[in-house]
Amino acid sequence: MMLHQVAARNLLRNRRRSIATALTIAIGVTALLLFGGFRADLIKLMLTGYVRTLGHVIVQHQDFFEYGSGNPAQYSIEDAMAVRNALLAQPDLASRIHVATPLLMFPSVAGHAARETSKTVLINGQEAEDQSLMRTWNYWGVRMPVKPHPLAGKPANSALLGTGVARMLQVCSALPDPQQCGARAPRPPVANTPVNTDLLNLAEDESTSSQSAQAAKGSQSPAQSVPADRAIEVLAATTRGVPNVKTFQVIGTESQGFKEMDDAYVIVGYQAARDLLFGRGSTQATSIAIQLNNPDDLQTMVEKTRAMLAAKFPGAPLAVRTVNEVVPFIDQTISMFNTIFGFIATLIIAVVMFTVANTVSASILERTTEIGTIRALGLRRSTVMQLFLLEATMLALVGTLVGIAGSVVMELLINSMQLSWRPPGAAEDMPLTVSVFRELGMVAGALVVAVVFATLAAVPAANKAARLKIVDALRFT
Amino acid sequence: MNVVEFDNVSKSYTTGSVELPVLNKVTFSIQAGQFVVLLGPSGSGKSTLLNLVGGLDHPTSGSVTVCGEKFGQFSDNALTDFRGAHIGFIFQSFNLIPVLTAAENVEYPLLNTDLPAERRQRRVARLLAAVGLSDRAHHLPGELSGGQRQRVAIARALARKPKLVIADEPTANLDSRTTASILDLMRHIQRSHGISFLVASHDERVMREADVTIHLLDGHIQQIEQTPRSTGRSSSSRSRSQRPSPSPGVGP
Repeated sequence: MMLHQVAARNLLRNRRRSIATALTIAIGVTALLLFGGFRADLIKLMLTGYVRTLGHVIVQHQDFFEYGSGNPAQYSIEDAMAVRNALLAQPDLASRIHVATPLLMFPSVAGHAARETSKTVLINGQEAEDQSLMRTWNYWGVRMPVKPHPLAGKPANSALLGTGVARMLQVCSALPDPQQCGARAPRPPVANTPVNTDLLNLAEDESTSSQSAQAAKGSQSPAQSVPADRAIEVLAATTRGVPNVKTFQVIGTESQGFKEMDDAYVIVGYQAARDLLFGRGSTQATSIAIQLNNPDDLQTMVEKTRAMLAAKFPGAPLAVRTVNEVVPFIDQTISMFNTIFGFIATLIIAVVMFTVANTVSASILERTTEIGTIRALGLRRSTVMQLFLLEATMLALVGTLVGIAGSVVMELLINSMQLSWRPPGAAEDMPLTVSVFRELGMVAGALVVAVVFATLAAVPAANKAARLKIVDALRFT
Repeated sequence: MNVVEFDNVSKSYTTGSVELPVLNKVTFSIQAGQFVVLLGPSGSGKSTLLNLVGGLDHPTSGSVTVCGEKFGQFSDNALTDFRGAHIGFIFQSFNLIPVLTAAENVEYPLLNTDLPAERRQRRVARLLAAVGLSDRAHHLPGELSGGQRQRVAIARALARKPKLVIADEPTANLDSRTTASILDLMRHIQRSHGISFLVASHDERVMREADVTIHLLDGHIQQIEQTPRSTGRSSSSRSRSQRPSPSPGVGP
């Protein structure tokens, strides 16, 4: 017989109390792990969403992050294609890269002549085929649908609008699914207002010239003639300060999650955006998004990319940033969930400690005479203390293991229910899933923390038991 | 050789501002291998004296020496280790651990020793056989009669081969037949192993078994008396305050 066997038997002495305490611990641990599993999945979903658009590593002009939105033309990468090709030419970088693609973002004005509406917008030029490939990235296996980029395979002058932009430009009714703009149907134009024929003519001219240019280049996705009710004209100031206008055909809308973005976002092909801002033949871009095969390579990739740029483009004002740096919302969200998790964990630990301390105190009170007896028989104070701490540890261990088992069962149950929800800033519903079993670090942490704090909670009572005067303990009734 | 030596030992308890003397300058000694019975009415100081002999409490003044060691010099751990190694306890209410079997209760005092498990088991089996409970080794205390429980308690008291066993009213909760058998057992063990027994009791039958009886009254030793059935090594004595004559066996 060993001391831990005595401790285990003592726990069975008042089974109801021991079970109640273990269940309290188990429920707390289950709640904590489920929230932790939900947090982990949510963070993975969010990261997957951003990585599918922006990649993990972003190469930009060194001042673009601070000043670029004011003058993107000035703070763009001079020869973005050369940078991209250099990345893909270096084997140790290329082997880690899933996709490297240029992005071009600049403010502009979009108008819809047929309705005489206009709106300041943010043009986002993307390589649709690259973006389609980026949207297949799913390193963590999250339940997030893989949809090809809406511009993929579409004519080069196609545009995708934020729902707010589409609503304000009043193109919704001309779209295949007018409901994409939102629940409320867009209002008709103001009655009897004559259409500005100059603008209409401009749109038609631009449309025709765009079609001719595509045909001349032998493009596989030639621009088509744009029906006026789906045509928008985008006006941008070129790098030389000359206004440039290009007509796009709206093929649909895509919610961006935030209203501010929905009210400003216009996604077009990279080449079309580049032609609009820099003129034809340019290879400039505001960013190069690099999506990695494995997110664990992030820091290595950042360092190696910096080294490569310094070697191959000496003196070029380029900066390498992570997606977390470019989108501070990611770290803010992670920090918020970590804070909530910490708050919940603190509450649960407090409940566990209070319950265990209470149980051990009650047990000591009931066994006061027994404590006097074993001390008389020659067991040291430290052994008495050890005995009660062992009981608390075992109780916490059993409760935590039951809690872990409970959380795994709940995980299977919740994930099988196919629940969904829309987190703040999400463009569409996300699956509500929890991953407890895959978060082994969190599970191990919960086990250690619960056991350590439960044991600590028993220290004052156990110490008091060990310091009982033997004669008083033996006389206790 | 003296197993217990009390030299001018006093013990008082303080309740608020009132000091309540329980033992008053008690001096006596117990020789090895004797069966000593402590007699006295309730409140005479019997339990306090037993606690002081067992190292469970500290005297207010005077010195207590057991097996040649003065308790006053011991730390709590040293006193605990000494108690475990040299003194066995038998309680009126048996004080067995209810969740442990008879064998495990006997083994409990051995947990703090270096004895390997196999030797511990052998010793436990021998002790249970000695008290006639081999067939009850795996029974919980709740499944044993009062007499059987006290036998387990006796076996437990002997687990670490003590030189002295202290028993506080060991037969108070037993019927007369069981009392007789328990007394026989204690006497047998005392004689066969040469262990000293210090027993506090009101029971006439216990007194009849004594080699020496110590009469306590109001914290004083009234009389130390060698009973007729003892070997004649001891003589009657009184507490030091009454200047008794020294004796080779029991005396001040």
